[in-house]
Amino acid sequence: MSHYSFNPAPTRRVAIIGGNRIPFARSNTVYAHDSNQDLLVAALQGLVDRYNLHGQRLGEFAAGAVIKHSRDFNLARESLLSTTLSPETPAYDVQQACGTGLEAALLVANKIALGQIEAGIAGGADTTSDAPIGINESLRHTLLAANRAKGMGNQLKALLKVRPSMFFKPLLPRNGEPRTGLSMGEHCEEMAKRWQIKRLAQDELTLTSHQRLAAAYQRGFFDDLISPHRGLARDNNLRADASLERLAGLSPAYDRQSGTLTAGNSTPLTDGASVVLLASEAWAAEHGWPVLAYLRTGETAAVNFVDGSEGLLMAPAYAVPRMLHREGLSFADFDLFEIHEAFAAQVLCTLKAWEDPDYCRERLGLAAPLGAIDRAKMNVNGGSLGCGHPFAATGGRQLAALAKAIHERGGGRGLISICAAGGLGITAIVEK
Amino acid sequence: MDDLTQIIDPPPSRTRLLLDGMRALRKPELDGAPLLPKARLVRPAVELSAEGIAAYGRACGFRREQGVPLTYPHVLAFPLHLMLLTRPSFPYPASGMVHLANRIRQYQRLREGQALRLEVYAERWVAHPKGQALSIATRAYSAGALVWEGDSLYLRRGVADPVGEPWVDALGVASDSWVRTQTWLLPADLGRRFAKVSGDFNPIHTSVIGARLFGFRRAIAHGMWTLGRALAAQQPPGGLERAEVRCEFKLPILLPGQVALWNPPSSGPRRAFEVRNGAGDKPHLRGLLSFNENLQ
Repeated sequence: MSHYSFNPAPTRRVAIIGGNRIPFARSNTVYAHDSNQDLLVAALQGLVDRYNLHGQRLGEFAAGAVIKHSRDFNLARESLLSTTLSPETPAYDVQQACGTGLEAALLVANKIALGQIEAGIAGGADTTSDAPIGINESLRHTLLAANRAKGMGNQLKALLKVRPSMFFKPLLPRNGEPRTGLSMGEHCEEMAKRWQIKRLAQDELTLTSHQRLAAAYQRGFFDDLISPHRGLARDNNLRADASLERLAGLSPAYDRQSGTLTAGNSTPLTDGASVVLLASEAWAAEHGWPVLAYLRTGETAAVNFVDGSEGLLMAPAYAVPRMLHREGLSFADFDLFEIHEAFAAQVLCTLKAWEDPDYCRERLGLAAPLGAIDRAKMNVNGGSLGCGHPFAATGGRQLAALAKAIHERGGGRGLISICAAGGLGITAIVEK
Repeated sequence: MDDLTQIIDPPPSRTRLLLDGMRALRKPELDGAPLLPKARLVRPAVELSAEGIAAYGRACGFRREQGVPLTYPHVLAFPLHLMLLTRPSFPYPASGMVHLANRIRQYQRLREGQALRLEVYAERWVAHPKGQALSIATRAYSAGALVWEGDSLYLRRGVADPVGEPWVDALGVASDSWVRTQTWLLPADLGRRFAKVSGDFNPIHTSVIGARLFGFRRAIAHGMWTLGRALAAQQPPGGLERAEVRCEFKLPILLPGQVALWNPPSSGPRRAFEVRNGAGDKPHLRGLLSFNENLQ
């Protein structure tokens, strides 16, 4: 009989050493001819250059993309092989919709905390410019049948079922939930109606996002967080001259009659990539890198959006109180909040939910509401509405920016919250 | 022969149904009250075949883990409905009968490979504000026990003095708080695809020209497809033990098109639902699905 023994190593603090991303570009602009791999390689090589990791064998590289070609089955590993990191560094792909980047960071962090590895990189990339287009389903089934058929005669017979029309009806990627057929914007529009989120409030949040992002660029905040790519030095979605008047002039995008979500207060399709370097404190000291902040913990949640009983993007509303309860913290213990802005309305729904006593009691099981978040502490260096949202790259962007912001102010605690397709929510706590 | 229980084995061929349908396009003017057809059509053993269920599931969007779709036995019994409606003794042309409402009850879990005895008969006349309605009963037995039943209400428009008990609109009206939970894109060839699994080649569903002959601009979606699609969206994984669905068919859905499923915001195993047009202001189908412990 084998003796089962589990000796957990003492859990160690996970240091965030730094991050790197390429500027985010609106779909079909500057990175139109870059693949996911091209973007991820650019971000990863930038990090390797900044932290002088050339030829080093790290514990692992975990990364992913949401919209993938079938050839990208080993995207992280293939990307790594195109950089100057040691090719002996293992890698694997992660995919959790828009939570991919942060989930990858939690996976790497957990291995560091358990003593399984000393240092690792987490990241993500996404392009909607170089989107996969599948061949027609009927054509695919016909070709597979021909492939299964034995003998030339049977194969030809199977191929006789190919019709010319099959070549003109490809399978296009859809920005919609597989189970509901509704686009994410349509789902969020329903949420905005349920929570009665005003158009003006959404536009104001959008304006703040652009203004704070522009200000952060202005004071050089991103100088050691971004490497230029293809001649682009800052996110090309950023409108430094955005105004409420201009935002008010946009027409509703998902519900033309009574909608409040527009192309302005929703994130556009974006191309980009980001990576974050995580390590044990010993590794950081050995290599002489200061610790920006520590990745303390994470929590994911999921909601039933299929039957309409909860909004698609409301899972972070559940994840955050669970995580705070586990860690014995409240909003008062936080100095910064990094809330992913998929849509201004989704942020405002979540904030409103945390302030609503009935919702907090009935849905979240809380005796008292979580409370309000001081907007002066939220997305202080801009958010997804300003810089755009290349799905899997958003987590790495937020994690690196939050760690640096904590480092800049000499310490503190920050919360990250990301909503994702499939009714998922991924959250984390960063502190120093 | 109209009084007889008539065993139908093998099932009627597609050609036979088509010919009967064409023969039944014209019926003589009715003199007085219509007579209820008395025949009871029986198929002694129809298998719930895995292939049949899979093909039907693909057409309506059911997933394998949902088990036998609640509406599937209706599809198996449909040729018998057609035989009843196209009989020489049936007073109205079959092609002019509009499927108005349906109620299905399942009393036991259905399984792939199981054989059902299907019985179809005209149950009663119903007086509808728009004409004469007829309720056709479908009963499915397994090992002597009633396991599934369906009541389908068909309407002949424009009959001045309909006979039978008055029609009751049993399903309540949706409130403002309902939310759109799904949207579906309906391709132009949906009617032809569904015809292949349902055996209903009624031209108003399968061709533009056929639809125009009957006064529609384009082909219209089959009501039982719409109901099937709605159930595929709402049946839980793991299959149903006991279940009931009641539905009323409202405005026709023109193909191709886009429609949406609407539900009350908080719902459990007793779910009201509507299939509405793209703008969400007109209903195509209204229904109520209850299953397992919540069945009354």
